[in-house]
Amino acid sequence: MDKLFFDKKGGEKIMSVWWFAVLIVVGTGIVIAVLMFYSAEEDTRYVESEILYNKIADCVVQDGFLVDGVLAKEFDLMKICSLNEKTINEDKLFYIKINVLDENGNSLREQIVEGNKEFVAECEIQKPDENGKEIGAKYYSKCFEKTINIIYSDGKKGKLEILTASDNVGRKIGATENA
Amino acid sequence: MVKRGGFLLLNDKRGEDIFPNVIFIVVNILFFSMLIIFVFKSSTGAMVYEQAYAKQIALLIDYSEPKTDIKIDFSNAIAVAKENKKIQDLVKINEANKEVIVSLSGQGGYSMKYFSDYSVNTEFAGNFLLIHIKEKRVQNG
Repeated sequence: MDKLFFDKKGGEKIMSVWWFAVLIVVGTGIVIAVLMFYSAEEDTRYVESEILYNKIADCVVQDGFLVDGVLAKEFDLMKICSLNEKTINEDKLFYIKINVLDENGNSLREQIVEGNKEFVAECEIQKPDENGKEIGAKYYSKCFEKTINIIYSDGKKGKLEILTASDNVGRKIGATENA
Repeated sequence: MVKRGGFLLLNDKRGEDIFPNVIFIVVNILFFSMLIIFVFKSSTGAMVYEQAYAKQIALLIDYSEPKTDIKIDFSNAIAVAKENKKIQDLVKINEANKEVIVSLSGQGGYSMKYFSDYSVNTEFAGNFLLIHIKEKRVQNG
């Protein structure tokens, strides 16, 4: 059995300490890399902010016409568009900003704002610059912004600016929490 | 210096020198087999499927209109849950917190919130998960 570890002169032969050290280093490295890879979060925030945008756009504009009541001061976006008050305004995982403008860019009503207002700055920072370069910010909310042409009141043309943002990343929960 | 033959286990002088080589090879095969099994187990583990399904279900709920029924192939997740001896409550919808919880092992699960204010129910039909999305019931009084 000694031949496994030592040769005739007492030197290390096949199963040297260094070989075990190499196995440990390689094994530990692979285990850490695999655990890091498979425990990484799948980022669905951008998709989610786009879905939120689509939901709002479908809700307030139908066939290009602004839905009745949007210009009214008491318009309740959350109720009309079936959006959840708790997730958006209490948990603050989302942000919505809507601007209704006339043809010349003048506001037709007050901005409609819901959710976490801190996301405005994060969206602003992530906007592409003049050269089209974007700043990647992993821990910032992901935003979606689009302007669509609308017809309001008696056939007047206008624009609808919608900005949505999401920071809904999900979380692992423990056995006691799931009971 | 011992002169060795072309094949790994052949030795010109004495057969007893083969034994350490065999042990060396066996130990290496065992070590790398264990690593491969670990990588395979990790890639098909509950952790990966819980997150993927929770996010998929939450996004589908948000993308849907009321009066929608969705059918999802849940066979991979069910297989993982069976391996972990979990057979009940694989998917829970917490209506109060508006979150989807997918749990495929006895050690917790993964939770993902959705923003739509719908009434959501789930049920299993074989290997498929059925999600029923309805308009939220208006409570009188």
